[in-house]
Amino acid sequence: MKKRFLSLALAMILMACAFAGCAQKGQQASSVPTAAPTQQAGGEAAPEDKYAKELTITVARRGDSRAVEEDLFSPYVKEKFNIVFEITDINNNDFVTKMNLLLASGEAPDINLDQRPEFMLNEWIQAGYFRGYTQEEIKNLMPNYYAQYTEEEWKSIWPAISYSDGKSYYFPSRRANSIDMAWLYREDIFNKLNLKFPTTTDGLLEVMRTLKKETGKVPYVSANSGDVLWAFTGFLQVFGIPELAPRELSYVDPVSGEFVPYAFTTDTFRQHVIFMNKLYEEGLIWQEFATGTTDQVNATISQGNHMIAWSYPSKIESELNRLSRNENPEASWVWAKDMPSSNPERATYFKANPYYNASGVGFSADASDEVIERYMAFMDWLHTDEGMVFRTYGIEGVTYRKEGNNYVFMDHMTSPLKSEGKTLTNYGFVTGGRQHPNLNEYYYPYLTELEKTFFNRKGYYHFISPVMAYTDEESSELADITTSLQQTAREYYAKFIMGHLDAEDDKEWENYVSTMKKLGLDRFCEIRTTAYERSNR
Amino acid sequence: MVEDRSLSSRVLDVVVHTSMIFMLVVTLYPVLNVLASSLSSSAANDAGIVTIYPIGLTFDNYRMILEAGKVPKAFVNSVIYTVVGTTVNLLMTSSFAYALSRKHLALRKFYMTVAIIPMYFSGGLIPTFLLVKNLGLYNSMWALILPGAISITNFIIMRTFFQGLPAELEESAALDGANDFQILVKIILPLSKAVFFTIGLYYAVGHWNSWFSAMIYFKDSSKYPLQMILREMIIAANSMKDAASSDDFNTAADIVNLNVKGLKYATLFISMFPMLMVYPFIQKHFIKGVMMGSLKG
Amino acid sequence: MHRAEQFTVKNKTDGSLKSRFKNLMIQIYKTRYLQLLALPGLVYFIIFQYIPMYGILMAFQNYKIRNGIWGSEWVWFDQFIKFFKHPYFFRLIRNTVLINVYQIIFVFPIPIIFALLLNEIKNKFYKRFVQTVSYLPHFISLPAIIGMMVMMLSPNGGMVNNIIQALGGEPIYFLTEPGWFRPLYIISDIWTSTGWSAIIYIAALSNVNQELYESATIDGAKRWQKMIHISVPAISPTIIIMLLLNIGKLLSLGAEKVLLLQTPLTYETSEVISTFVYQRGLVYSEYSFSTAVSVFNSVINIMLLYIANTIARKLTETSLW
Repeated sequence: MKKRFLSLALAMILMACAFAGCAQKGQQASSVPTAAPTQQAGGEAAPEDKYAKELTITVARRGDSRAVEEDLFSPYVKEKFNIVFEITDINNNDFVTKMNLLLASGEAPDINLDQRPEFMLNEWIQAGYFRGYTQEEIKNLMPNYYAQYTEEEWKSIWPAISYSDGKSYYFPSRRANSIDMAWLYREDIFNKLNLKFPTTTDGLLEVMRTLKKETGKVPYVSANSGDVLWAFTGFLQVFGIPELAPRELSYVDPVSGEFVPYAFTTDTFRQHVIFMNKLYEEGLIWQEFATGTTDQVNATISQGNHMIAWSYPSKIESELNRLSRNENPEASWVWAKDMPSSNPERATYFKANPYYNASGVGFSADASDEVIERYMAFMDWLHTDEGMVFRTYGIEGVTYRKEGNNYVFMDHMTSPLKSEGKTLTNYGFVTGGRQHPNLNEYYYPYLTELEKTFFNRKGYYHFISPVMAYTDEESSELADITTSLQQTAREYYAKFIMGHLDAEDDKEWENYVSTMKKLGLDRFCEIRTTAYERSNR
Repeated sequence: MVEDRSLSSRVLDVVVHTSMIFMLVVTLYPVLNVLASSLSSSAANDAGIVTIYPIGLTFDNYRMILEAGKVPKAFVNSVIYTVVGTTVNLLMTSSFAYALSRKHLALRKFYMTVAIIPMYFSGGLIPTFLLVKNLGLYNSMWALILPGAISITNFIIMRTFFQGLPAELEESAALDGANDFQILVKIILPLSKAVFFTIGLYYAVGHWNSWFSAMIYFKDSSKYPLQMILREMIIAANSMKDAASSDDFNTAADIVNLNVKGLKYATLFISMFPMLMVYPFIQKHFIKGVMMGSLKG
Repeated sequence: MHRAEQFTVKNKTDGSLKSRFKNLMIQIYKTRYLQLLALPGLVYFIIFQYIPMYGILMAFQNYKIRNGIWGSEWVWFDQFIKFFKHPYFFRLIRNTVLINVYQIIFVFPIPIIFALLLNEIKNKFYKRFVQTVSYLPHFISLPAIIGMMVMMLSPNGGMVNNIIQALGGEPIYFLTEPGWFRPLYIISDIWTSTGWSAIIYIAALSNVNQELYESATIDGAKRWQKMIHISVPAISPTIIIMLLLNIGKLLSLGAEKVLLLQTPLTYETSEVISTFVYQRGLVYSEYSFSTAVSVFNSVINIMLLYIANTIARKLTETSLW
């Protein structure tokens, strides 16, 4: 009898656990959205009629989870649009895994804030998970969003984001800075040695040799132990290969308009490899580029190595000066007004399309029309001046104040000039929208300067990644080939640079190319070319 | 016992102590390195000169973690998941293992087969996710606990333990007129304290260290356990280049001149701490438990 | 046992299906409390392990998330053939098996030796201290551990190369030498897992009847003789079980550590099945392919385990089943 009682009790406990689980779930689901309990009480400032019904919109946001200390964003949005956001933060590394699960289970969030082409976007679009819009529809539905670009700019953007059905499935936001990368160098050392920043590959080699000879340190320190093809993207660019080639693999040469289906077996790439090998042999780049960790790179820079860099000028303040000053308090980094090129007469290349971010908002096909409509209204508002101020600076008197025409973060906030303090994310602000232009003017005068220096400069081109959509067979075949190709390319890249193999030797280079062919290089190029031609008329 | 003072014994002593000291040095190093880095200044961490003692001693990393940010909340979450999860694990595993350890149980072979097959074949990510979602467990902590309620290895250890309990005890108790319930509570359970602690620790360590289920099943990041936060920090630190090339304009304004490495290691140490504290307490039971279960394969 | 007697009472079977079923029912009824105890476990296994098992079908499909399992195209053994035909297939198998074999040869015995040596320590406090410290690395996350290793092995001022140079050697760039990958993997395994794995043996040793040692001492046995003739046999069932479990996962080697430790220059020795699948997953989320590979792994592993278990049962008295 007692034993039966015990067994029953055990079984009951387990059942209770299961029920508690379900109950808890329901309870939490309903408790999360009521982010603004005070709002209902003070809701006399009744929302407009079309916003009469409270809507909960689920949002996927790419990035780390964020700590919200005091939510100012939700009450504001609730009052103004009667929208409640339910946000899922998904780490970069997990984005595809988690989105796939959400899509497969019909739990797809209404809004995907960071639709990025490299994340299976094409496959998702083909699967019909997202809503597409024509240019005309966008213009009508979100006039303020549309107006962030001139018609001239749209002409360059639209072909890059639209598919063969004439629709775009994500809505890129405008780049806050059309140009945000440059070559950086140690001004103090360059001045001391009376050096000028080079514009040619030969010049670059000379300068690096001098730096090495005079200081005894390694002039260029970078590493990427995850994917070695990313270790020297600046030097790829020098040879006219887009910086994003390790991700895109294919590109369109902006000068000739020619489509290059695979970037890492071309003659141009071979020149780059030979050049890198020369730098390696002479100790001009860091020996451990293929294995180094971030901690090691920082330590190496802290010992006075690293005198030129291809990077973000914003890193001068946030990183480079700090690290270099560990060795020499006088150290000071600046950005160069020129870019070296293997063929300066022909062209110099920049990173990506200057107008739009590679990621943008996507609308789920499962979301109700009402949700999409209301979100679009919100999104459009984010592109008005009021919306941009709200999104960029927060709330007046709480997170920012006005000084003349400038918006200035309050003292307790972090700002581009100050790293200690609270950020807008601490106040619950959601990504999306457009950065207010005043931020750069006020806080990052160098960005305006960068833009002035390089934009529309003769012979300076931007790379635009081509749109390519594959059929099912094509994409599974590509999956097969790409992994092996990339892996082998990485292997040979490191071996060529480190001199285990000699890229100048025709036989060894041929051997590399034929290994790649064995792994399906030709088929890869064929599929990519077909897809490119299909997607671009 | 008579002390063995022969040459071979002394040689053995030398071998024993050298290897133990070597072991201590080798395993203490990473622990001290984590602790020292978490207590060092940002300059020292940048320069990579921290080894086993802090340089430029500072408690800022811990202060920052504990004052602001996600760590305290995540720590509490982790504790809850570990405690609740381990309790469920122990209830489920022990009841199943006890039943299957009784030789006269009808259908015993069938149950055993049912339990062994999933050791090698599992449906994989998507079907499991769909199941959890259809059960209504998505975004609930039960999604972390129920799908792994019984670990097959732990179940085998427990079953073997119950099988190994001397039958005489049970029999004599029965002869004394004790009923089944009394036997279970008064005889089996007290004898099983050890195995409960053992398996409990295995489960608890598993829960404490896991992050994947949390990543998959949680919608709100406020429910994340500590390992999830730790992982974010470690990935972020390892792919700084990637983070910087993010197009999110927030990053420009959010770039914080932090002691990244120090913060990372402080979080790491906080995540290790409970496990370090727990072990000595249950070491006694733990030792007995593993032994009794494993011996009689 | 009193209950066992109860069950044998009504055991007259006439062999017919119906009566056998009836008999079973009776037996189930007799053990109804135990059945009730087993029920939650059974329910658990059915719900959380067996229901999702239809996912294995993906191995025979070209699975697409939008079509789901019931709508995806059936390709039968194409995924398997794709795997077998891959130019790197043998390299992957070789590397995976070799690392696992080295693990069994080099990593597996270390905790046993460690436990045996620890057992020779008489001072309780010292013993506990060593044991507690040695199991700590198990709790440091892998990226941090590998980060430390990379730092130590650096050819420019890394601790290990400093020592080599002090002894008059040339610095070695360990991480780029294909020949060093396996040793590094194995050494780091020993480093982080010895203490944790030793627990089970330490526990087994602490239960050995002390009288055995004492009578051996009286017979004039040396300490090392007692170690070999008393301690080792005492823990050998545990060793065999652990060995069997290790053999049963010869083809499953986790990707995480390999990914952290490998470099393009060591792919020759470091690419294993799991990293191969992982890389493909990163690019295209190929669920069918990775399921096929894991089914292949499971089949091989089960066969190995079965063979090893049979041998173990024949040679010793210990086996998993």
